Parts: sequence; C-alpha cells; structure tokens
Amino acid sequence: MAKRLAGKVAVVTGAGRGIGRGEALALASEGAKVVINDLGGTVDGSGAAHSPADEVVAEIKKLGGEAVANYDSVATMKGGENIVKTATDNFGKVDILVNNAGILRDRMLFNMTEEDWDTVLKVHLYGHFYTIKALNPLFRQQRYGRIINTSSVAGLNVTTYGQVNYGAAKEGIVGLTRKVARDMGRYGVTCNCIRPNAGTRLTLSDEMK
Amino acid sequence: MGKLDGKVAVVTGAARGIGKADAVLFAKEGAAVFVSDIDEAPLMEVVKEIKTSGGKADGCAGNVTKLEDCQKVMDKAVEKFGKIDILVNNAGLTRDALIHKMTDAQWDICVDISLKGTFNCIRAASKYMMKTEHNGKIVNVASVAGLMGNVGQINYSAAKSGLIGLTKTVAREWGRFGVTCNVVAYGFVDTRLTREKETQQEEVAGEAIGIPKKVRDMMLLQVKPMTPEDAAKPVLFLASDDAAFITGQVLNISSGIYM
Repeated sequence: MAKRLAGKVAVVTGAGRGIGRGEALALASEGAKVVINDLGGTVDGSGAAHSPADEVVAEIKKLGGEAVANYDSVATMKGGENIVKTATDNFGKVDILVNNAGILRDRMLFNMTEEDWDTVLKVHLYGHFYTIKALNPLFRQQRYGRIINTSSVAGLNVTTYGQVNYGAAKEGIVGLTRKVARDMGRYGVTCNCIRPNAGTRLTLSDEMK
Repeated sequence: MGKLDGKVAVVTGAARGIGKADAVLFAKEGAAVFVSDIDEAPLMEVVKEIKTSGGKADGCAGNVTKLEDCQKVMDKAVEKFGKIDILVNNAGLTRDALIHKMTDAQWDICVDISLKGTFNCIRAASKYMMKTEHNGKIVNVASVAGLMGNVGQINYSAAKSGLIGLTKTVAREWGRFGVTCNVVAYGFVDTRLTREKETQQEEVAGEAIGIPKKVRDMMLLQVKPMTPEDAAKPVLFLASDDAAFITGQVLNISSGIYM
C-alpha cells in the first residue's frame, strides 16, 4: 500500500512529547517529512531544552523517515515565522500544519494570576494564530493546506476545575478553526480541530504514570 | 495490507450511490462485504462487480423497515462470512415537501427508512455484536440537514437528527463490548437524491426524486458536490481500527456547508 503522505511536508508544534510526538510519528510513517517543533519546556511552560525535539527527530530517522527539529516558542509572531522558515529552508514547502503545542497553568479562579491567564492564552490560542498566519501566504499561493488544531473536552460540560484559562483558550480555538476554514477554504485549505481526551504529562498525576 | 483485512462488513442501501461506494471501498481494503438493498437487481450487480475485482462479497435484498428482513440480512451475513465486525446503516431517501404540504406518507417513509430502519438493523445485529471485546464499528449515515435543518426537509432533518441521539445511545450501551458507534453528516453528495429532479426522471417508491433545478443551481454557487467515492473514505476511517477511540461522534463531511 502506497504511503498516503508521500511527498508531503508537515509541521507539528509541541511534537517533542505526548500527542504531538504521536502525531509526528504517524505522519512520518505515512511518508511525510516532518518539522518537529518543541520549546522543550515544562508542563507550565517554563524553561527550554533541545532534547525533546531532537529525540523525536532521531526516532523518525531511525525508522527511515525524514525530520528536522525547531525549538521556537509558538507564543510569538516571530516564533511562528521561524517555525515555517525551518520547514521551507529544509523541505521547500509546507502542506500540513498540526497545532498541538500547549501547556497548563491550572489554578482555581480565585488563585489565578494575570500571568497564568496570559501565558495559557498566548501558548494555546495565540500560538494557533501565529503559525496559521505565518503559513497563510504559502497556503494561498499553492492553493492547498491542511490545518489540524487542538481543542479539548475541557471547555465543554465536563467536571474539571481550575481551568478558566485553558477552557477559554481551547474553546477560542474552535471559533478560530471555523473562521480560518471560511477565510482559507477558497484557497483549497481545510481547517479542523480535534478534542482529544488523552493521558499525557498534562493530564496524568505522578501516581498514575 | 488493507485497512479492513479480515473484517466482515454489512452495508445497507448498497445498490447505488454512497452505499455502493462504501461496499466497493471496503472490499478493496480487505473486508468481506455483505450488502443489502430493497432493489435486488442493481444490488447483485454490486456483488458481481466486487467479486470480479477480486474481492469477497455477497448480499440479499431486504426492506430495512421490516425487522424480519434486517434479521435475515444479518443472519445470512454471518452464515456466509462467520461474523459481523462493521455495520454501515446507509439506507435512506429524501421525500421533500414544504411543511404545510407534506403528507403523512411522505413523513412516514422518510423517517421509517432512515431512523426506524437503522434501529431495526442494529437490533438485528445485536446478537452478533454484544460480545465481550467484540470491537465492532457501527457507522450511521445522516446529513447536515439533521444538524441545521433544511427547507423542504422537515422529515429528513428530523430523521437525520434523530440518528444522532440514536448513535450516542448505541455508543453508551455497547461501549462495554468495545463497539463504537458514530454518525457521518453529509452535505452535497452527487447521488440520485441530489441530481436534477427534472432531468433524471428517477422514481423511488412511486415518487420522483432529486432536487429541482432552480434550487440545485443555487446550491452549486456555494459548493461543489462530492462523489460517492469521496463520501466513502471517511466512512472507511470510522470503520477501521484507526478510529477505535472515537465513539458517539458526528463527523461532518460537508465542505463547510455547516460548521
């Protein structure tokens, strides 16, 4: 069976661990060249390291695929642009964007600081915008693009607490997804989002791991 | 290596259109396919077509509004292929009329085939799917009309919307058997339900079917219809183990007609 993504280039943000890593491996196994973006920080977004992204790149290469690392934060316009530049510099184009990068600052509302609110919105919601915006000219030009965003069940009717920032960001991503689909549909670009319910370092306590 | 190697799939309404495309695609991906439809002649043509291409298929005619017909289909599928892994409840039709003009018969036939028919097939398949770690996949076929309503389709919209509640209940009752149940909501697919009514001169159960040219031309300004083959691919995904953790969901396949 021919590989379904042969000849395609994918960018996956937050691909150093968890869902992003799973997605990157799946895309690579179907023949896509993948940019593994990961800041390499902790669950709450602090710190940075090259090793998470580098490890996944090595994993893909070992399986016979092609990948390259990028360590930029998605939380700035420049970061989004740099991620796209890594893709075009190494692989010449981008066909697929998986917006997966995300962190947690879970605090009950009365304990939530302005910084907790801002940081989560910046990484999740703004991060989605910055990468999509950076890819907009390329996608328009080539009349093709596949954007997959990551929302959550958190903003729905589930009984989780301490996630005013996260719930807002993740539901915001849903509205963003619909509007990107409308703006970009005429250029052959689809934009969808998933609501995963997954066991990763963001959701598993130390006892559960 | 097909996505459905070793699996057995039952597809209703498989003589034409999306159901036929589902059956052909599933067979190509390695499934043994048991097809059903109310129209026997075109149904057996589909069986022949699959077998000629090297696939495994069989079928029998039946009317999904009758539980005993549905039971016959499921029993024969198991008799022939040993089990049922996948059930695609695709049989359905439109019977369009504005609310104040719609007759009892137009309401009944549409709701009976889509909604009751799906319920009947699931009941009939229950003895083969309610097993520990069965890991089966049920895919029901709805429409964006069921999500957003549609002028002239109060019967269709009600039936297709009803399928969503039905789907979620099956997901809850049979999740314990590893069975997933999801529903696809189509927009504009090129089948006899959507071709030009005046041109195609097609009748189903005594009434002309299709979309009037004026209405259809307006739809074409917004969106291009997808082929039945395009429509079958997401169904393949939901029927495959790739979708093992997706259940009780509506997959909207409408090019954005409704978001």
